[in-house]
Amino acid sequence: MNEVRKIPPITHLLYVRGELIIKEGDYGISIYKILKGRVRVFKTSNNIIIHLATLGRGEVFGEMTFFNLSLEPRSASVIAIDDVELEVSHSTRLIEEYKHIPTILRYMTKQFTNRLLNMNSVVETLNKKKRQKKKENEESELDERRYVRKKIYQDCIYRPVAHPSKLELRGVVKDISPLGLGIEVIAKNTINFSHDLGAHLKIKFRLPSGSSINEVAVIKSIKKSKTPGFLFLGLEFENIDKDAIKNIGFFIMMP
Amino acid sequence: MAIDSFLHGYIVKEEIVQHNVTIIEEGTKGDWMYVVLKGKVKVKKQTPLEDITIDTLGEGNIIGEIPFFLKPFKSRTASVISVGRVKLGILDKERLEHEYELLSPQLKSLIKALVLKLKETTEKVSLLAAVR
Repeated sequence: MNEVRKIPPITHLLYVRGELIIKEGDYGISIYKILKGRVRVFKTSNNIIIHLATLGRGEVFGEMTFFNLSLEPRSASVIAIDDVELEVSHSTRLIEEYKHIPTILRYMTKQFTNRLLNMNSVVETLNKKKRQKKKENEESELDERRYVRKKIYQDCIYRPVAHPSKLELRGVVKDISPLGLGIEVIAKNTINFSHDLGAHLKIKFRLPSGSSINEVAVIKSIKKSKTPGFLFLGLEFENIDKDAIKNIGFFIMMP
Repeated sequence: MAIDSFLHGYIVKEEIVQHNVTIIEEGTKGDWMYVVLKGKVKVKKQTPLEDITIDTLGEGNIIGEIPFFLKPFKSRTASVISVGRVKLGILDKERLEHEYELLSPQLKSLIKALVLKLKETTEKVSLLAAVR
């Protein structure tokens, strides 16, 4: 057989850690072989990332679009976990070969590709269920924590730890536990400092039992308070002092 | 679904199995491939909790492909069980092997990669499904 065809060169590509190699929904028929590093194959559904596989040296990806011989978009995304070196072939020769292999082998590969696509959507559904279950468990844990939080009403002074100025703001501590506390603040406090999730606050107040608390806590939730014009911050203590834990504990156990 | 005519040229023997017969048993060794000619089969996988059905395949589906493509790996990855009366065709392994060997190494490695992913995803599905 006289097979003189132009063989496209195989390209080597480098991707740094965290870089997207294939984007779900994009079009492309290149096939990738991993020479160095690892990649992660994932799908996104409602902003949730579903991990499908981790591939390493010697493994191949991008072959599914190839076997479909169709113009279907990529069924999943691929991202570099390490710095990755890839061999990329966009092989017209391979496509030609594939078109002419025995029908049964093409029939099989198409069937396997479809089965794999099905399986991937099963993985997606199962992952969603798992996540839902996890969320439910977390919520019930949160309820338990709320349960041990004792209601109080104490004025407090707080300041953002990372803020350059010596800003001091006022609020009211409405519930407390050795793990965290809830404070109500007037909404206009956010003019000077945006109360973002994850922000660290140094909070100073007195427990009704008399002991004073001066601890750092992290904002975990922000809601509109029942009082109009006020916000309710859910906070968790960070590196809380042992004596403070004891004092809060005693206070909670008091009838 | 009618069976594509080219498949008939590869069938060396036909077999009929009754309902609930294990055609392929997970963990055993073997590399025969079958095509479902009539009826349906379910693909079952053992998990620490219980056996779960991961797929149901109908007419025209090839089963038992993993050891064929992933040589020298020989173990069956999952069990295949008949749902009702099922007619199976046993595929001509030698002819298939011969034709497969004629493919270029690149194409073979792509098919291998595909079958390997199918195997791994099957395992992943069973692990996920076993979580309660």
